[in-house]
Amino acid sequence: MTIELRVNGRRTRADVPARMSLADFLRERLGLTGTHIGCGQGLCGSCNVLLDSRSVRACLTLAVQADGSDVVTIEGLSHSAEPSAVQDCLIRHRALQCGFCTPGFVVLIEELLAEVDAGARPTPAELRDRLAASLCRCTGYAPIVAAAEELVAAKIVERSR
Amino acid sequence: MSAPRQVGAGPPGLHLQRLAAGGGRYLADEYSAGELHLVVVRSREPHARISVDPRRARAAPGVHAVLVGADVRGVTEPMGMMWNAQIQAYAPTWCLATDKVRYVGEPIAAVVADDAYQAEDAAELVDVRYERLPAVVDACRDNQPLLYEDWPDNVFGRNRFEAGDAATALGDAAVVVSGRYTNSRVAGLSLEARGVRAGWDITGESVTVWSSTQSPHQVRSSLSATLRVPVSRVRVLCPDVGGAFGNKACAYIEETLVAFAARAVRRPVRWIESRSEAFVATVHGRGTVVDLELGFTADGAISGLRSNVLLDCGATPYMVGCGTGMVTAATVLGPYRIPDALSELVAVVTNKTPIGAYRGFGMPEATFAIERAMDEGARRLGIDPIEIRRRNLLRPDELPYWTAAMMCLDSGRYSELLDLVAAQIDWPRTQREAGEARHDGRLVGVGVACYLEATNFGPSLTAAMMGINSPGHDRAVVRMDESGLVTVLTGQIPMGQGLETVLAQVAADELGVPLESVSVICGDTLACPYTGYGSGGSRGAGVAGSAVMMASRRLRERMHGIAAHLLEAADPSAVRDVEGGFADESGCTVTVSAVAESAYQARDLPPETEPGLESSYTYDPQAFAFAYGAVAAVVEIDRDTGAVSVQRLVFGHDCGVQLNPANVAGQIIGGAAQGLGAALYEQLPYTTDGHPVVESLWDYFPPLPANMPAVELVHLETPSPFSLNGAKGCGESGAIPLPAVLANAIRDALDSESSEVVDTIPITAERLLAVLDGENTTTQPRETV
Repeated sequence: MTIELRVNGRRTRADVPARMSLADFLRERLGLTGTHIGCGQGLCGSCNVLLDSRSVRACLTLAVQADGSDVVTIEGLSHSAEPSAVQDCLIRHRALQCGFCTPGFVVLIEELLAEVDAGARPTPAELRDRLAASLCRCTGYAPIVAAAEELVAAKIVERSR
Repeated sequence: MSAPRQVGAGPPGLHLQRLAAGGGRYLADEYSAGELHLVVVRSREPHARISVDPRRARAAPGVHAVLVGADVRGVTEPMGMMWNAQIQAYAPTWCLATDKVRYVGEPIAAVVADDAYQAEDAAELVDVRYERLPAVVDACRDNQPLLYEDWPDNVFGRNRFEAGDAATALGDAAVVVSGRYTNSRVAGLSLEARGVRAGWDITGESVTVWSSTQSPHQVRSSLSATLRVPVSRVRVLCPDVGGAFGNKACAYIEETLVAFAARAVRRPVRWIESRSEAFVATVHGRGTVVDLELGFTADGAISGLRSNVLLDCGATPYMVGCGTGMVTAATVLGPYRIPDALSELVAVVTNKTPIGAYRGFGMPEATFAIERAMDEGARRLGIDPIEIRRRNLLRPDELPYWTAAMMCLDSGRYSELLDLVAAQIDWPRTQREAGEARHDGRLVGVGVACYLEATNFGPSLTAAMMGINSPGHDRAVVRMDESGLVTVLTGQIPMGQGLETVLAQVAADELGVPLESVSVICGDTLACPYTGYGSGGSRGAGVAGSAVMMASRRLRERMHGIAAHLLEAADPSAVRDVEGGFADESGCTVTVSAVAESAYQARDLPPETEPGLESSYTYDPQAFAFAYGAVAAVVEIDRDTGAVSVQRLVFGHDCGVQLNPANVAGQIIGGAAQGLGAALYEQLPYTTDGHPVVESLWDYFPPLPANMPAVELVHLETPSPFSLNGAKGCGESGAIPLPAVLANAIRDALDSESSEVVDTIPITAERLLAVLDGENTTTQPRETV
C-alpha cells in the first residue's frame, strides 16, 4: 500500500506491506533507529513517537495508520550538536544508564511539556502516572521523575512570565 | 597531577548525550550487506520426544534454509560449562534439540529468510510432532521421570561447605530458628532483549559475531569450541548494550546457532530476540529454596548454622550451571561471626528454562534466608532486630575473616554503617510510630537487613577452587597518540553502569590529562585485551579500574623519562608533574603533547627507549572484595487490596573507594528497584504440567515510578586491601537486601504468629490479601520454586 506522511518535518512517500508496523517502517525503511523495540507488545514505551502531537506506540501502530499524519521521532526532537533541554535535564539527573528506554521517555516528556504549555498543570501523582507509560529497568525511576518535575516546573515558570 | 581530579567526582559521562539523542547503536540497529533474518522455532512442550518436518517451511517464500537438530548434531560441539560443582552430572546441550525437548522455549529449528516477516511466517510451517512425557516441575531431588536417562536421578550437582561442628552447636543452642526461604524465578528484563548477528569471510575460515553480551571473550571461547574453529579465527563484537543485569553473561545457544546458520547459507544472518521469546529463551534468575537452621545463645549470639540450598537449574544447565546455588551456599552465613556451620547445595534439573546469572547471583537468596532467620531469632529472644545484628556482625579488627564457607571477608565497618542507617531512619521513633499506627488499625511495619556483596570477581585461583572455569584477571592497554590524546582498551563492556566514564576518569587522573582527552574502546575481541570473565561479578571498578590505573601509571613513568630527557634535567627524579606537563627544578616546562610528539617522532629519545607511548597491565586480584551494607524500610499494607507501599527506604552501603559517586548512587537505586520488584511483584511461575505462565510483558510486573520510594542513601568508604585502587564493586548491592528488608518490614506490619507469607517472595498483594482475609493458603508445604 502507498502511504504519504511527514516524518520529522520531511514529506515521505512509500509502498509498505499492510502488516508493517510503524516502528519497523521508521527503523528499517527510514533508518531512524532511535525508536527502539523493547517488547513489541505496546507495554514498555521504548518505541514511543509523536503521531500528530500525541504519543503512540510505534510497535502497535501500523505504518498505513500513519498515512497522512505528522510523525515526530527522537531524531526529530534532537539537535545536532547540543542536547535539547529535555535531554540535558535527563543527563544532569543521571536519568539514563543504558539509554535504551530514553528516547521513549523524551517523547513522553515532550508531549507533557506541550500540554503544560497549553495550560495543563499536572500534579506530582499525575506526572508519575504519565511516566508509568514507559518502563526503565536501570534507574529506579527516581531521577527520571525528578527531571520531569524540574522540566514541568520550568515550563510553568516560563508560561507565567 | 595537573588537571582537576576526576576520580571521586561524578562526571555524567560523554556517552549519555549520544544515547539521550537516540544515537545509541544497539545490536538491532545495524545490518551487513545481504544480511538474512533467522527465527528460532522453539518447543511448545515442557518434555517430549519430537520429530520435525521442515519441508513446508523450506518451500515458503523468501526462505533460504531451515535447520534442524540433525544438521548441527554431528558437526558442532555441545555448549560448555562455566561452573562445575564438586559432584556434577553431564548434560550436553547442542544449539538445536534433536530427538527430545526438555523445556518450553528450547530451540528445535531455525528458519533463515529474506526478512523477519517471511521468517516468522515460515517458522509457523515447521511441523513439530510431540510425543509428550510427564514434566518435572517441582524442584526436588527424587522427582520423576528422569530428564537425562543415563543419570541415576535428576540431581545435577552437589557441593558443601563445612567448618566446626554445626550439629553440636545447634544442639546446644538456646533457640533454633528453622525456616524455608523461597526465591521465585524472575527475569532480568533488560529493555533491549538479546540479539546475535554473524557473518563469515568468503573462505568460511573466519567468523565475525556481533552479540548483545556482557562477556565477549567467553562468547569467543564458546564459539571456537562449539563450531570447531580456532579462537584466533573468531571475532566477537559487542555494540551498545541496552541493559543486561547478568542475563547477558556467559555464552548462549543462539550465538552458536546464528553463526552456524550464517556458515550454512553463506550469508550474514541476524537473530533479534522477541520479548515473548526472551521470557523462555533467556536465563531466569533465582529459583532457589534455602532450608536454614540458625541457633542462638540466650543473649542472641549466633551459635551455629545449617543450611540446605536447593537450586532449580532448569532443563539444560550449560553456562553457569549451579553457580548461583554455590554462591548462595557460600554466602548464607552473612556478615556474621559463625564458626560452626554446614552449608550444602543440591542442584536439580526440571523441565523449565535454564537458571543463570542475574544481578546478585545467589546472594539475594542467601541474604533473604539469613536475614529472615535473624529477625525470627530476635523476635523469639525479645531482642531488638538491630541489636541482635550488632551483637553478631564482625568487628573491623576481626577482618580479614575467613568464613566457614571459605570466603575471605576483606574489610568493612559493618556495625558503624548499621548504626548510621538506624540513626538516619530514627529507628526507635520509627518503631514507635509503626506500633501506634498498628494500634490504630493500620498495617505499618519497619524492618532492617544487612548484606554482603562479593565483588571484584575474581581471583583466578579462588575462582578455580569454587569451580569456575574461566580466569578472573583483567588487562588494560593505555595508549597516548602523538597529539596527547589517550585511548584505553579494555575487555569490559559498558551496559549502563557507566564503566567507560569511570575508566576514563582513572586514566585522566593518572596521566594528567582532561577527561575529554580519553576515549575508552570496548566490545571487540580483536582490538581489546583479554578478560576471562567480561563484565559481571561487579568487577569493573576494582579489577578493571586497577588495571587501567597501573597501565596508566606505567605510561606516565615513560612520559616522565622522555620529559626529563627533553628538559635535559641533570637529575631526572627532580622533574615534577605540573599543569599540563612536566617541569624541572629551574621551572622550565614541557607539555604532555610535546612529550607525546617526541615519543612518536623518535628523533631525540633517551637511550633504550621504545618509540611511541603505550603501556599495559594485567591485574588478577588476590581475593574478592566484599562490599556490604545495611538497609531499613517502613512499609504499609493496604488492608483492602493487600498492596504494599514502601514509605521509606534507607540504604547504607560501602563499596570502598567510590570512583564516581553519582554512578554508585545510580547502581544502588536502580538495583534496589529490581530488588523491590523481586520482593513484591515479579515472578515466572509454571503451571503444574510445566508450561510457563509468563510469555508476555503483559503478565510480568516490574516496578513502575509510583512503586518506588525516595531512596535515602548513606555510605561509608572503607578501601579494600585487596584491590590496588581500594574500590569494591557495587553493581549488585541494590538488589541483594531488598527482599529481606521488605519481608522483615511486612512481617512487622502483619504482627502475626506465622511468618510463612513473608518467607516466600514475591510477597504479592494477592498472597497478603489471602492472609488478611484469614484464608490460610500457605499451610501446604510447597517445593515449587
